[in-house]
Amino acid sequence: MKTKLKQKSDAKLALALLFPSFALLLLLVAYPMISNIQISFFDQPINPRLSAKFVGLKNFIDILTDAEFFKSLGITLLYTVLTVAGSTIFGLAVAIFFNRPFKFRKTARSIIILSYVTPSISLIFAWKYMFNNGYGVINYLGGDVLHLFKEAPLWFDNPVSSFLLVVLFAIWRYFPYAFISFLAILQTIDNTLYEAAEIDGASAWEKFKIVTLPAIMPVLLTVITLRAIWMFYMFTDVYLLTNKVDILGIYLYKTAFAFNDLGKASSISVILFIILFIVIMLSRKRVNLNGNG
Amino acid sequence: MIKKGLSLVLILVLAVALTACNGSKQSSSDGKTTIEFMHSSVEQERLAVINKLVAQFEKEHKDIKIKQVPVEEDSYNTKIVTLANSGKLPAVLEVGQDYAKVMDKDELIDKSAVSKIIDKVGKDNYYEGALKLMKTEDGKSFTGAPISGWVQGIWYNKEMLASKGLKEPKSWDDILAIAKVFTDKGNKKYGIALPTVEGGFSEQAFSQFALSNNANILNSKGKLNIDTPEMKEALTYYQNLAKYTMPGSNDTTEVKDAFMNGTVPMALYSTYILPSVFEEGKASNIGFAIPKQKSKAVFGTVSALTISSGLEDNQKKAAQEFVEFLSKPENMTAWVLMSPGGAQPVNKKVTENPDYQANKVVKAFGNLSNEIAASYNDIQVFGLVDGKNFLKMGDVTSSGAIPKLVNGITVGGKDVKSELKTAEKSLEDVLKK
Repeated sequence: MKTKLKQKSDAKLALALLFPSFALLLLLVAYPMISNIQISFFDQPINPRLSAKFVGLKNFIDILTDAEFFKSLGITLLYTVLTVAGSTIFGLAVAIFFNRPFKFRKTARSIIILSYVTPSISLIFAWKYMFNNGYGVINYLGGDVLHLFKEAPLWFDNPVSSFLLVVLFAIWRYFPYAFISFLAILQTIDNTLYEAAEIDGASAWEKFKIVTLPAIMPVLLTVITLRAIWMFYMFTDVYLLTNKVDILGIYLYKTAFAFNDLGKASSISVILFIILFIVIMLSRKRVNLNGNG
Repeated sequence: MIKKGLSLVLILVLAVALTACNGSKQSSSDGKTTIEFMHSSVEQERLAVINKLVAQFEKEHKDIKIKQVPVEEDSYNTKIVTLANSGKLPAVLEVGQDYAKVMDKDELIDKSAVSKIIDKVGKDNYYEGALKLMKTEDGKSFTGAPISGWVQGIWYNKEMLASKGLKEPKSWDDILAIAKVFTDKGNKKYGIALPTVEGGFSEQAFSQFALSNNANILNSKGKLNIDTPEMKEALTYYQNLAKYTMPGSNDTTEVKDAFMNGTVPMALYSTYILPSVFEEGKASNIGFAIPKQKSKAVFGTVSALTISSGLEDNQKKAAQEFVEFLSKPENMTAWVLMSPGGAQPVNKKVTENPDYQANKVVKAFGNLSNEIAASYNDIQVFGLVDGKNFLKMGDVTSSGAIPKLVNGITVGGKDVKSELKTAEKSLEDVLKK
């Protein structure tokens, strides 16, 4: 009886202590989310003194019947897959290469993460200048020095080359994140495992497959999941680099702020949330993020 | 004890939540009326000028306090939307004529308060062209009190033109002829720096050619009227002229750089090219021409001060007094001289002001300064038809259909007719809403 009473009061205390953070969470996460869902059913004017008109599912139907939305969705999925795969593989390769002692290793590591820690805007301007049609260094090298092309390609004006460039930019910009994560876990792998594998006559690929891959699996899955979420919602990098690649972030921005259609914009974010939610649930079901099973 | 603690925490959290929700609606504690003033002058030197003006105003009006909200230009409109939506729009806002239309559409502007200010300042003192840009659709009221502006036209390098025995371009044909003479693609020399980017700059530049050929986007009834022979003619001309410009999407940076480094003898740009020209000591070598075919068309924009709707009486009064104060000739002059040469006077009293005339940049351009000020009378913009400033033009511009069209026929090398049809279709969809 006594213990039961004590348990009860413990639970109360726990609740009391949890309450502030719980309330804050409700205020900062749940409230905007519910408000967002609510707005998605309205034709919402910017002026809050004008009454919003309830339109039911119209915003959702408009989006789901808009070819542009599906085009953006397709581009975004391709963009996400390519950049996540590219930055992860590249990050892993560099991490494996760096996971050995050599001179100036610390300096080299700091240089590697430079693209990740520099603010987007300065990197984007640098890229825009590099690929500038008039005085860009790429066109200078390719055209005037190496004579690879007679007339300089319009890098950011052609949808295909623009897409490839934004993918390349994202891989280059974000691979250090994967690199840091992989390097940390690689350093925890016991060297004796590799030695044992070597004694058994394993090739480099077999060593990677049997020793490295299982060991880094938890980090690999986390890196992929997080990077995929971040890339799926990407806006700034692509928006500032070119206007020829309409990923979903840009489609959303154009709808919300160019047309001031807040209801429609909210419904897009609800749809995006549902898509991402399904993808994450499926991936969680298929793979255990803790890597234990 | 726990219960007590729990209720205490609850009260605290509620208090925090309520303060967060209450926001910063301009309040009047300590007997003073506080109003917010949102503007885009974030640079230190500009802020210093505005701080001085605000301090002067507060000295003259002891019961009013001005809280400044400087916002970067890039996120300015987004900020207006979010602030308006949460009911926290500042009392006084600096706003361009296009966005004023968007705000007016959502009834965010107190037009009667603005009109009273314009009456007080004196309608006749404003340049007619500047004032008509701020007129409402019914022509009876104004969406903001103009404070400064800029105009856009063709700048030409006098020496370069003279070296080939050419004179100031007066017509479409002249411009094309000069552009042809100077284009030498092999040596990366071009005839004219022309905006071709898929962005507002191209719409503004192209509008000058379209309007000088009497082609507007809307007709006098406010209906979409884009697929006309005049519009096709203007588009075809622009497409031809773009053959003599730098390859790719040219935005402000490319156009300005090309003109400043001598790659081109002509550039379509705003008066904001003048400060750089002055810095390089080439003020006497630049000329200003206006595209002319059936009529003359200068593109221009006006930056105005507007008052948001739904204010309490004391705040409205304070806002009106503040805008009136800033619209005094000497204060408008101080505002315009924050970027001499770039920002242009919209009020004749500023042009006549001794401080303005004594400014070294303004003086350096001599007669050109007067020529530019006078060009306000030739201002024509899309959506302004027979003195009616149609609100829906705000949606047309926001849709980005015109820049897409201009970019498509120039950089994309697409057919004028089919691109025009595409633009018409997307604009029809936009205007249907």
